[in-house]
Amino acid sequence: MKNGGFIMKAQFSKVSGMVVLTAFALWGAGPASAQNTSPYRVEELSMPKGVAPEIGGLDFTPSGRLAVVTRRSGIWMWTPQSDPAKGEWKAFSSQTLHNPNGVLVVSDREMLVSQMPELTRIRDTNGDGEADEYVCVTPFNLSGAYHEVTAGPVPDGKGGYFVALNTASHSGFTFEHPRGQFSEVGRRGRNFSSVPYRGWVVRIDAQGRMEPWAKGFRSPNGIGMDASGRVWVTDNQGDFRSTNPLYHVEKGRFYGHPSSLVWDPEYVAVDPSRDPLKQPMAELDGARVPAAVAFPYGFSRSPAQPLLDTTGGKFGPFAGQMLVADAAAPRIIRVMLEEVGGVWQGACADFYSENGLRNGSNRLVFSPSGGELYVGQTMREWAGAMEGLQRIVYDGSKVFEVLQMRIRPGGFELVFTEPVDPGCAEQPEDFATETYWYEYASSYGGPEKEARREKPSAVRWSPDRRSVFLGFDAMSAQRVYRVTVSGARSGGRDLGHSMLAYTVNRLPR
Amino acid sequence: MVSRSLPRRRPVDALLFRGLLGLAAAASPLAAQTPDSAANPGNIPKTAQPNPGKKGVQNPKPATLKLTVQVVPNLIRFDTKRFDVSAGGLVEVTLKNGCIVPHNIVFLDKEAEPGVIAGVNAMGVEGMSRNYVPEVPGILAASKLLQPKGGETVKFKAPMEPGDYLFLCTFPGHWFTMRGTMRVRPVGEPLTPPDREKIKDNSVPDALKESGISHLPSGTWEKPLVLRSFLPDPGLGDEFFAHHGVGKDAVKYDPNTRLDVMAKEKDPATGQWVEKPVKIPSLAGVAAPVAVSFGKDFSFAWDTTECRLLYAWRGGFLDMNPYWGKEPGGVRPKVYLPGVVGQLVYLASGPAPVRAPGNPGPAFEGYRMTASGPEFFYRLGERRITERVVPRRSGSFEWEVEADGSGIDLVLAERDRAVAKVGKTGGTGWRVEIQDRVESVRKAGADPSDPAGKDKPAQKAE
Repeated sequence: MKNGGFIMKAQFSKVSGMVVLTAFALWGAGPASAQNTSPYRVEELSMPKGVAPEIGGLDFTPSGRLAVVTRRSGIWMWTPQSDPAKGEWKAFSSQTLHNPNGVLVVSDREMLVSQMPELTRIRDTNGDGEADEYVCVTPFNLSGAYHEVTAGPVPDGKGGYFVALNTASHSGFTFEHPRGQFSEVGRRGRNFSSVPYRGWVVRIDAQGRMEPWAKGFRSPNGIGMDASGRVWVTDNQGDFRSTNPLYHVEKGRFYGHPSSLVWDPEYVAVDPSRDPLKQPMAELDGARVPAAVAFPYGFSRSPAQPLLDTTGGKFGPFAGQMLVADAAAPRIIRVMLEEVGGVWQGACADFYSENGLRNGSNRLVFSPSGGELYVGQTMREWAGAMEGLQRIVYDGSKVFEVLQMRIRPGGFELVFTEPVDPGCAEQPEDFATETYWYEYASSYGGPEKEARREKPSAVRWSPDRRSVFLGFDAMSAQRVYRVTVSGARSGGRDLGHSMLAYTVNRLPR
Repeated sequence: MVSRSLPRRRPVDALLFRGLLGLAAAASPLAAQTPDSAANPGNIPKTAQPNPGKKGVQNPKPATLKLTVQVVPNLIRFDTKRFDVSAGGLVEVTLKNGCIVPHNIVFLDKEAEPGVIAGVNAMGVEGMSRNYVPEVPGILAASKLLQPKGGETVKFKAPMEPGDYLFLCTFPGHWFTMRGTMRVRPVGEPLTPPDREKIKDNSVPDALKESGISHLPSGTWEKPLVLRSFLPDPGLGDEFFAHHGVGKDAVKYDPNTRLDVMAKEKDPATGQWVEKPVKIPSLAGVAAPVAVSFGKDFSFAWDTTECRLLYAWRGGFLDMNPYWGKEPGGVRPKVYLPGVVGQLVYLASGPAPVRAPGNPGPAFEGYRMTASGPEFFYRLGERRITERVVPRRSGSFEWEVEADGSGIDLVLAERDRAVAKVGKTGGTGWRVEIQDRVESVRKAGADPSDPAGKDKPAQKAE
């Protein structure tokens, strides 16, 4: 991939057509100027012939080999090379698991893989490099609908694991003989939970005993853990989901999609035939935990795995933040979180989009060195998505982005990774802002409601030009603030990604 | 025509693609005044002709502006962020939908956006058939909802009042990113070229196409293939599924109303039309089996819920196209169970043959790979059972059961006794030789609602 960041700059800048023309003229005439070069680039990894490169899980072994769990062509190992075309691929398993969609490597000879019917411990017991034992740790019930995939496992810190279980979709059938107790009430719905514990995040202890842990999920295709052991789950826009959310998940709480409630003993204790789809919306709304981040639909079409940046700066300045893969857009999103009044909320921005990145990113893992992010793609369910394996490589140079967006009394503070040149981005017009909210509704997806443009009433730069306070009159909670930064430059270089969307659950005091 | 006397210029977009000539284009005042490309390759405004004979050009006739706006494939945005037009001028915008989902282009009056969006949202599912163009004030012009590869030219007169006017796609949700500005300039002011991106050749490698994957997988005699998937139920019978749930046909549900979807049906008894819920039939499938292929000569499937042999067949393995999508990347059909390729030679039925005292249910523990295929482990209460299927190239195959501990019984189903020869293993178990028999199949993988090619279900999958 050549000049990727440069092309993107020409596309996204709010400059006039004349400047775009000039930029392309330069590109055609010679090498791109250094100030427009992106510090990140995409590289393609080629899996062996005959392997469908549809990725359900990525992890590294303790000895630094990349384990690639494909959704229909086995599990493969590769030792990272600086040249992505080099190095030998070796099959750890040639078996076709049932839509495996998550992996946790235990050792060079053992890994846990979640597939539709179970969490499976896969081991190479004789050390020949190929797995020979497939132990069922915990079975999962299946209705027969194609949509009941898993996300995880992620370790719970106590020897067990968290796994997220998708609901079924009304585009699929249920079987005459499903695996698990069948609920007719749970079978109703656009996305539904006809067998336990569809639409739940479950905790599986070291002995394989499963505990239904948190409920109200629809299509949670991403689960991750932050540095403090908090569980984060992404879900997908659809019924009861106006847009794509990121949730901070805690035991026993309800996350808004009602179908899973039929497997909640406390819920059905009131009345065994109680139908959550018939419960008044206001009651469900009052019981649910709102999203920490409501991704604008244009930002994220189908969020997948959230991955904490544990590289300590080896992958750029975003240590401690989360990156989120998008399975229906050529994009990886960055999330900036904070706790306000005991509630999690925050902003999202593009981390990397287009410029060689394939549409369909599902699973992520950092290389042991931290300088590379491996990205596995899947095309399941999504027109336009593709399959494949890529990596995003950081070249170590300066990154110019908004590092943090924080809410402050009466406004927001944007912190930049580099000092911003004097004389630019100083006017309220340079921080064009739209605000809107999302209704909690049963229908499939929902609009940005009561969208309105707002102009910051104050723009105050810090003396070191690293942060700016944007004042807003009469801010409201339960709204998303989407800010587009124009004209911010550092050493003459444009900001990498200019749009940020902050979900305000609580206003700070 | 004046246009003939002027030197012909390359269209702006052609220059964009060629790069090297871009500077010349940018420097050309003519290029800067000509927003269009393909429709007007000479870049000469067709109705606005420079009028060098008269003093000044304060009040020339407004131009017809021809412009092609493209949808950037798969990215839910227009390639054009802004274009200029003279006040009161005629506009001919051709929308080309190179995307994979439907789009339209709708031009709005100033301040009209909130009302239009509210109008679209109010249309609900009806919107699709009405191009998502609501009957509300403030719409200057609108295309139809264009399917992928579709195109349409919208002609209208630009507003007289200069300023910025919004255009967007009103397919629900698309307006967040599919929007641009029509800048109406006072008559006589030069128009700057459109601000638009070059549509890139989205040249990300198609790794799937290059992989040569087959959706007709197969193992070999030397290296059997283990594959886990849903499988069709060719007629195992209710007794087989003793430890499964009991599924039921479902009722179609509408997420907008939160009600069941009703359809009018003629009551055969009374001849009256009555409203009835639309049924979704359940499917004859097995949820969590393991299928094993030894190549064309032998395949079998074993169920991890009932922990017993499901069926065996010869002549092929599985057609995964329905479940994985038609290779190399197509969508899956409505009934998505894999197909069994070949002839069934054994089909289980009746209650489970391996029984422990007190009849505890089975609990699958996993399997271990051996040179001759997987060895399955499960528990019946405290007792651990090991099973494996030993293939033979023709005529018969063997099924071995090893019991860890005493008290385990082997009780074959009535119809299996005719084909089974039961012997003992060296340990505490049985070796059962099963003769091939041609098994008839209950519409394996077929639409259960459609046993005779009629009586189609009333609802359609998305």
